[in-house]
Amino acid sequence: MAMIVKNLKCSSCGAPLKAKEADLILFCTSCGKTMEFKDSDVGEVSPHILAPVREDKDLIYLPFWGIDADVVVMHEDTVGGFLRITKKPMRGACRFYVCAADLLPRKTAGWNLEFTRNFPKATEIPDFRGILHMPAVKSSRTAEKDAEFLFLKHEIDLSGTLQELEYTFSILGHELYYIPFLRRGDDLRPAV
Amino acid sequence: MSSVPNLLIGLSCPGCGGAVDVTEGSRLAFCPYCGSALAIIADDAGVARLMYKMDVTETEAESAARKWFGAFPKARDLAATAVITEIFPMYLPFWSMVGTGKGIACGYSTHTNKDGHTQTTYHEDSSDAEYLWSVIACQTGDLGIVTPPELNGRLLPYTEGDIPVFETTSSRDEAYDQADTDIRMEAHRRAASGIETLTFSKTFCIPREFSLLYYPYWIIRYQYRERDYFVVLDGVSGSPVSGRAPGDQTYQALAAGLGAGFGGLFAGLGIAYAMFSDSEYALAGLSGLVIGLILVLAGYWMFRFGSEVTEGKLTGGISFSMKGFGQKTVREIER
Repeated sequence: MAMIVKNLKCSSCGAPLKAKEADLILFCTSCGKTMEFKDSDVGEVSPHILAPVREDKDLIYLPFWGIDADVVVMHEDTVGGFLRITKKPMRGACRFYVCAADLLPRKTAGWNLEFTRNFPKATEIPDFRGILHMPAVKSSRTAEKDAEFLFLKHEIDLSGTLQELEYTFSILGHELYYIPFLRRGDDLRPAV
Repeated sequence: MSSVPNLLIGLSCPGCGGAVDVTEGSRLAFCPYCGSALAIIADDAGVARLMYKMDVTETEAESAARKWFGAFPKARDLAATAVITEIFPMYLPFWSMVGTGKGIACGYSTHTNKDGHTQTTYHEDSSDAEYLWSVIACQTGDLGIVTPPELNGRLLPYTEGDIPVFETTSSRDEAYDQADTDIRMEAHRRAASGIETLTFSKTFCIPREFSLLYYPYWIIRYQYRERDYFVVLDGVSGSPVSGRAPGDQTYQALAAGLGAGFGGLFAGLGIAYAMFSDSEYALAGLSGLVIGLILVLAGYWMFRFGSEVTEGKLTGGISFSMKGFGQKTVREIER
């Protein structure tokens, strides 16, 4: 046996799922539910679609996973940097935002950190209002590792030079977000 | 850096029978005709097996081999007198992973100032990039192919028995673990660059695609003056990747003579210049001596081993080809 192709069906109503491109997030045209593709099957997920600050023909939605995790730091040693006013350490229940679109890390790393530190306060809307959205290629399970890396990246970005760290990072759950971006050529900027 | 090739394979939609193209390693596809979302389920071992399409025909392969026979410094009559005894296609398996490598490294470095004081510099750094990892998945014996090619061409689903293949000698789990380790090590190497003493580090490998890819080659065996030789050609590009060929005695003799002559001349002039010039220019004389010695050694190398010419990573003979050298198992992806 080499490779098998299987039709995917909505886990809520059983209707065949349709897609226009390979997207880990599938929208059931029959019952309107949103499905996340996992391994060889689908599970329901509720998307949060943020409203853009203003209408523009170049708007596009990018998928992000909001990964909830419990961060416990047992030991930390930092050299210098006693003032931590602008950036505070992440401890306890935290949410990390990870871009799920097919873009290179050097493009998404800044948005992931920015949204994790300061998620935009925007109104949620029920649908995309005709605005295109990028397919998700990163699963929520994969995004969990990105979330742990985000925590560490935030730690070394704090004031002082990190030298030692003992911690636990426990995943609590995940949410799906669609955030509007303004696309000008290859450049993408958040529009929230 | 490496770019992700446009990897496509052809499968059929179970709903309408239409051709479905999916990117290599992907577990999800859609039918462009009926719009069905499709799950791609890999084989029992949980790995997608794919093969590259052979683009080079047997005639083109023979022609490319004859062109290779005629290239310097092989025997000058090789192209005219070599007798091809066997020419056949062969597919070699390669494990391939596309994944993101992330690393965090903290530590310190110390150095001593001119006044004898030791200064400590503390570091914290990270790396975050997407990589393509690939290694050969079989033993190729005397063929000398150990590094994966630049994976190009059109991909097709692999069906056992359809093509001649070298048997895979490493397991899926071993390869997966090795890919994970190599990508993490590359992420760590980049993050920890310049740190003498590590106090904290953490790496992540986030795989996106993992496949067993069969890559096509033409294997050509030939005889020259009743001795057996071979050449292996890339089945997509047609370029030679490894091979053995007879050298040329005239080139060997010329190399030895010219190497000794010019080498001796440079060395002699260098010594004379070093002895009779001002001390500040003596170094120029010494470099003449070094160049002379290199020329003598190069001439000797060509004379001693030039009876056989090799291509690729093969032992013995002389090789002017840099193919495969410096090629890394892990390469950063650029898009």
